[in-house]
Formats: sequence, structure tokens, C-alpha cells
Amino acid sequence: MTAAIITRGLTKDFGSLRAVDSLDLEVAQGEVFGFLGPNGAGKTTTIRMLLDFIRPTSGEGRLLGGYGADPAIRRRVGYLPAELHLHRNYSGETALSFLGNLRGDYDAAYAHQLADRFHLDLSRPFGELSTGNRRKVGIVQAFMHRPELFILDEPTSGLDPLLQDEFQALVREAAAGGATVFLCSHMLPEVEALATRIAIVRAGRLATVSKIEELRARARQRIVFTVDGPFEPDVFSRLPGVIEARNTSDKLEVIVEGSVDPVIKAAANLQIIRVDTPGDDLAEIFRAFYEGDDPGVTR
Amino acid sequence: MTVVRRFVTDRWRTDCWWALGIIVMVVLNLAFFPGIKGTADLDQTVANLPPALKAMFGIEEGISIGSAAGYLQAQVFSSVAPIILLVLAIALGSGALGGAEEDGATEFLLSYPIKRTNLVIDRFVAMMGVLVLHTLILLAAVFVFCPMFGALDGVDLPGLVAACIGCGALAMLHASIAFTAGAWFGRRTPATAIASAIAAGGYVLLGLFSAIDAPEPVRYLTPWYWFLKTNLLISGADWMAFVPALALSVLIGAAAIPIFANRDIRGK
Repeated sequence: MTAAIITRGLTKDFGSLRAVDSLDLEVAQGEVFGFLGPNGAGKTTTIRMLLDFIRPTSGEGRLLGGYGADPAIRRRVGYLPAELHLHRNYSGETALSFLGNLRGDYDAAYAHQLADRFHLDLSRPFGELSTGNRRKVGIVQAFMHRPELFILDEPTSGLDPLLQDEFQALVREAAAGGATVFLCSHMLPEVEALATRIAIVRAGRLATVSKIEELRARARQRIVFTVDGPFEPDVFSRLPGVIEARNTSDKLEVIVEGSVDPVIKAAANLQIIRVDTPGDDLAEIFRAFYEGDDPGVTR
Repeated sequence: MTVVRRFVTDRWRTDCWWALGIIVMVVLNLAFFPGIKGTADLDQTVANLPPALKAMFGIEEGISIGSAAGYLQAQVFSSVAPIILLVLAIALGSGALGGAEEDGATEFLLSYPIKRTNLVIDRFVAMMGVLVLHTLILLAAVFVFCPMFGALDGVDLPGLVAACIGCGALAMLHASIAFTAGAWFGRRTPATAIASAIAAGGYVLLGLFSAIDAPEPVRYLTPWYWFLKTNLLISGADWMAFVPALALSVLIGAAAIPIFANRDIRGK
């Protein structure tokens, strides 16, 4: 089975700025792949090269066994841009039928069904729509031809939580039907809920590609015990895997890398009232990749 | 075809206003004709004008400004008609590729299965179609309203058609310049600036070449001369008045294809 997306040494310079630097990616068919990175990391530039809006300085990117420059390949792709620009006088209806006819296989009934799912009023002009409603138009046009490959740039920004859930359901349905989803975002939660694998890019370079579970397994954890009675943080600092243990009034905070078993066993000797694991462990890792520190995952 | 149809439907309101503008412009200019008609003293005044101004005002030796043909040429076909069509043409040309790209619409469109080459051809055809429409509106406005002011006396239809086509061809030439400049820059402003500068420069050269009594081949350097060399209303069809301009339009428009196809598209 050929990969849905392959990039080999994909590089793009804008003047003296290297926006994307020798990117090697491989997204398998049927996979939901998260493409994460801070703003300006080169995510959108990568997409723009894949879809042939801009040409690589070196290297290449392939989609569905062909190239984005080929209209026949783009016909099989559903693309949701980070910001959709349509004529401000177009109603949702006009926009969808124009785009559908441009592709040539417009299924109005299915498009309307999608619009209904997102409570999108197709009669209003695009120029009068809120960011969230514009996003809905974008989602509908990306999904309405049941493409084999989705390239979604910041898909849920501007959507309320209910509609984010609806969007996730839609992506899961598409993935269950065998479609490949390339989900690009600067926010982890958007991707974490859907993707099986993620790539993290920083300053145009690939920082890591890994399965979500692997990242999770390697993540540091923060455990906060609320303790009744006296305790000694040093006992915990000496335990294997503990990066840091400190106390704040009646709370004991421990940061652990790897297994938390020794910490739990040691805590069994204390009078524990409450255990919290604040923050998202994955977010910690993610932040570490973003900031360029050692993420604490390579031992 | 979807792109062509879209281009035209997107701007039908705009085009209604332009059509109205052309009609009003024609009628307003004709309204002064009954007062001037047949007056010889105006010809005296005009005869003393420097050659540059005569050329720029479309005044020709032997054709009285008090005659329908002389008046129409001076008041409509060598001034307001080309100017209004040129403004429209340059706005259209700079918007068709440059403006659309600047607005972020082109990039998104190219995520659909449309070839860049086809997008350029479709937009060019649509743009030219809109200009043909407005040239016809100019023709219709002159043809319908002139008789009311007696401003078509002595002018036959072939002459009128020739003048309108010449005017339209000049507009199309500048539209294609703006179009291809837009394909190059991916922005509206430089495309508008280049085409406007060429249009204004050409008009100034027309006067200048007359003033310095430049030899005939030199005068052909400005496209305005192709169209204003003779009073087409009298002389009738002259292929020089529109064939070179139209041919050049197509050539310049065709140059947009490789330019646009081999370039990074501007996102927004």
C-alpha cells in the first residue's frame, strides 16, 4: 500500500528564511496523522507545497501516489485552509455549488446534510459570517465530495466545543471509511483526540514523529498529594525516576519520569487525603518540544 | 466554464453601474451638441490650437467640430469613451489575477482540480467578454441617443462601429497589460499602476509626437495613435485601429500563462 503523503527532504526558502527544512514525512493510507507545531513552524508552508500553491526549493512531496500539481490528484483531496477566503457576496449555497461544480461531482444533498450537522445557515452571505461559521463552510466544502485524503489546517479554531465534538465525529467517520486525515494544528488537544500518530515541527524542522501512546508512555507526570500530618520530601527525591519533589504547605508535589510505582509505594506510608495529577502530561512534552528543551523523553 | 460564469455573475451588479455610467457619459456629452452644431467660429478657435492638443482632442483638419462626426470624435471617442473604458479595463485586468490572488481567493481555488493554465485562460476570456459587453453598450448608447440630438448626421453605422471597436480594442490592450502584470506580481496595485502609466504615457506621447511633428513610424509607438490617427466615424473601418491592439492583447494575455504557472502563489 502506498503512503497517502510522502515528503523527501522537502525544503522551502523564502529569501534568507528557511521555512521548511529537509522534511521527511510518511503518512500511511487510512491514518489520522497530527502535524503539530507552533505558529510559524512551517506547517502551512508544508501544506502549500503539497498542494502545489508554492514550489519546494528542494526535495519533493507526494500525495496519493502522485503530485499535488496534478488536478486529478487534487480532486481526491479535501482541503480546509486555516482561513477561508471567498467572495463576500457568496451565500453558503452559492459557494458550495460553485466549488462543487468546479470539482464536477457536486452532491448537493450530502453538502446540505453536512451543513445541517453543523447548524450552518447556507443562505447568508459569506462576508457576514462569523469566523466560526466561515470555518463551517470550510469544513463542509472539504468533506462534501468524500475525499480519500483530508488536509485540514487548524480545523476547529473558532468552533464552539459542541461543534468541535461534531467535527471529531465527522473525522472519525471519514477515517472509519478508510480516508487519510492530515490534521495540522498548533494546539495539542485538537489533534490528540483524533490522531494516532503525530509529528512535531519546530522552526521548519521535524522534532519528532511518534505514536500518541508512545509519547504518553514517555511523558513526565506531575503528582500532587494532599497529606494529613508531617512528611519529608527528601524521601521522595531519592526515589528512582523522580525528577523533583517539593512541599507546599500540606501538599507534596512530585514530578516523575517513567513508572510512578516507587512513588505510590512510598506514599502509602503517609496519610493521603487527595491525589491530583494536574495539567496534561502530553502538553508538558509538547511544550518541551516547542521550546526546544530536552523534552525528557530520551533516556 | 465554471470559472468564466462565476467571474461574470460575481460582477453583474458592478457591470450594471458601469453600463449606466457609459450611457450617462454619452448622453451628457451629446446634450451640448445642439448648441454647437453648425457653428463655424468654434472651428476658428480650434484651428489655432497647438497640434499636440489637436491630436489629443481628436481634432482633424477638414472635419468641423460643429459637425456630428467632428463633435463625437472630440467629445466622446478621443476623450471620455476611451477613458471610461480604460478605467474599467484596468480595474478588471488588475483584479482578474493580481487582485484575486491578493485577496487570497486564488490559492484556495487552486486546491480544486483546476489547472493554473486554465484558470488564466478562463479569467482572460471572462475579462475580455466583459469588455466586449461594455463596448457594445457604448455602441448602443451612441446609436440610440445620438439621433435625439442630431449628433449622428453624416455618420454611417460602419464608421460608428469602427470607432467603438477601436475604443474597445485600446481598452482590451490595457486590460491585458494589467492582467499579465497581475499574474507577475500577484497583487492589484502594481498591475493597476503599470497599466495606468502606460495608458497615460501613451496619451501624452500622442500629443508630444504631434507637437514635434514626429515621423509617421514613430507615432505608431503609442497605441492611442492606432485608434486616433483618423476620425473613424468618417473614414470607416480601418484594420489598423483595432487589429494590432487586439492581437497584442492576446499575446500579452498569453504571456500570463507561463508567468502564473511557474510562480509561487501568494497566500493571505
